[in-house]
Amino acid sequence: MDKRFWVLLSLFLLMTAAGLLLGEARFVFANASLICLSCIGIQ
Amino acid sequence: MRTRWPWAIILGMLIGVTLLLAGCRPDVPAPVRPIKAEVGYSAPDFQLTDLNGRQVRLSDFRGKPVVLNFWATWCPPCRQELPIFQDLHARRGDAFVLLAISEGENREDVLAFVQHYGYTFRVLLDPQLSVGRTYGARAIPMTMVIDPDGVIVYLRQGTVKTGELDLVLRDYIR
Amino acid sequence: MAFFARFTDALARLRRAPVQLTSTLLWNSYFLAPWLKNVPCPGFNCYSCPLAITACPIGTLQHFIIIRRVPLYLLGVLGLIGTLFGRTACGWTCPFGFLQDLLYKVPLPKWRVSNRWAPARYVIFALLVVIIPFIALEPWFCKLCPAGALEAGLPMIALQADLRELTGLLFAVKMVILALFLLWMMVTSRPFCRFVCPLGTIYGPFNRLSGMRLHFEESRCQHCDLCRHVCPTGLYPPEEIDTAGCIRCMECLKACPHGALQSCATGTSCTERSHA
Repeated sequence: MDKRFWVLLSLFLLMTAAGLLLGEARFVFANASLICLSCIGIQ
Repeated sequence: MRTRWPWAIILGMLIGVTLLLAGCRPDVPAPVRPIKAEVGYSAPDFQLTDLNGRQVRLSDFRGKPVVLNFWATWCPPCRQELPIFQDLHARRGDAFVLLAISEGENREDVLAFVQHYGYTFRVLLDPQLSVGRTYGARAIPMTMVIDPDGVIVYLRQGTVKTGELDLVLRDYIR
Repeated sequence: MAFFARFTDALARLRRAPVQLTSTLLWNSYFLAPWLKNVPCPGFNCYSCPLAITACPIGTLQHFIIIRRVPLYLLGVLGLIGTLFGRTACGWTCPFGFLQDLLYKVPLPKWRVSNRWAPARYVIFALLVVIIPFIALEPWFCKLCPAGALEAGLPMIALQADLRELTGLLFAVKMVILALFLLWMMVTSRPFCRFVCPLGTIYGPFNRLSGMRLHFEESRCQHCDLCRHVCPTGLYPPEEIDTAGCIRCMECLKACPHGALQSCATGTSCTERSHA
């Protein structure tokens, strides 16, 4: 078995879980739901 | 003498009716406008928490014009226009209410931002974007003016220009 | 990990366009938005699109850089996708990739651009996605992004008349960038993916490490070069099959008449593709 694959897989699983526990999904949600007019080049 | 009686009665009734109507006048309900987050409609009421943890209702401010600003600390045009609001608040803060509604952010981040720039106007927290959604504030910044009767009279998408709100508010400051 | 070999074989039997169309419609299906806006899209799809239901990973990345937070969740999800499938999302679910595949079908004289310029995307990533947003506190990749111009900029000014008066120089620049890319996509295959895309830049290195892997069996190769002709990113599969430029579209596996290009999985021996 490729060790690198399992190391990476667990690392990213851990990162995802940690980020979710830290409530990062909320920041993703707010940013994705709001449109900052200058950020999309309108203003 | 007797012939004057009917006249006295009629006059008395007229005066009475006039007084009655005048007395009733304040109780006559203002024309009911449908509730909708658009210019010309009654602003939907909401309740949010300010940075001090106090509950604030829009309807608390009936009788004064209210300026609603939807913003976020990470939005460059929002950051850019906040000094205009601070200036307006410093000059006319007694005559109107400014509610800067922070969209989707937590108290710590907004408080740190507001303290850093020394803003003194009232900031409300809308972490779930619920009021923002009701008011159609999908694109920010967005600014609304609500007249003393609770009717939305002005809507601006994007940054407001210096002096623009002074002109709008002039008609509504009593 | 026979799963990955089986998965690869399954993909190699599928027609790609229906999958791309389905996922493009799914990522922009509007009604699911309130539940999925906290999930990064595996493909490159603007979250400011009025129909988008997911978050753009690159927009989100810039956002976290601007608000000074480590994007553990976002990088975790992208890392998981990369670790499992490499750049497969580019070839199969990316709406902007699908647009490029469609536009390249426009019958025009074609302009082959060498992959010598592919490292440009690393520079673009470093500057526009990381360094400039970190300093300027504005998502400069988004501000110039042609996908954002097409999916969000145009629909929004079409839908909301009062936004039209806000547009200025930046919007004009954005429209010019979009127009140039649309033209380029008609004459060059997948130019955005190869030379620009920051999401592909993130997924790319995983092609060497991912569970899903491709294999070139030299003994079977008859040097017919069919694989080179079908590759939408201008690679030479026998030599570049696991490099960062491969979008895992499986066109070379489908095209090879000798079974020299094979599905593979990390840690196992590679299996020959059966030919019907």
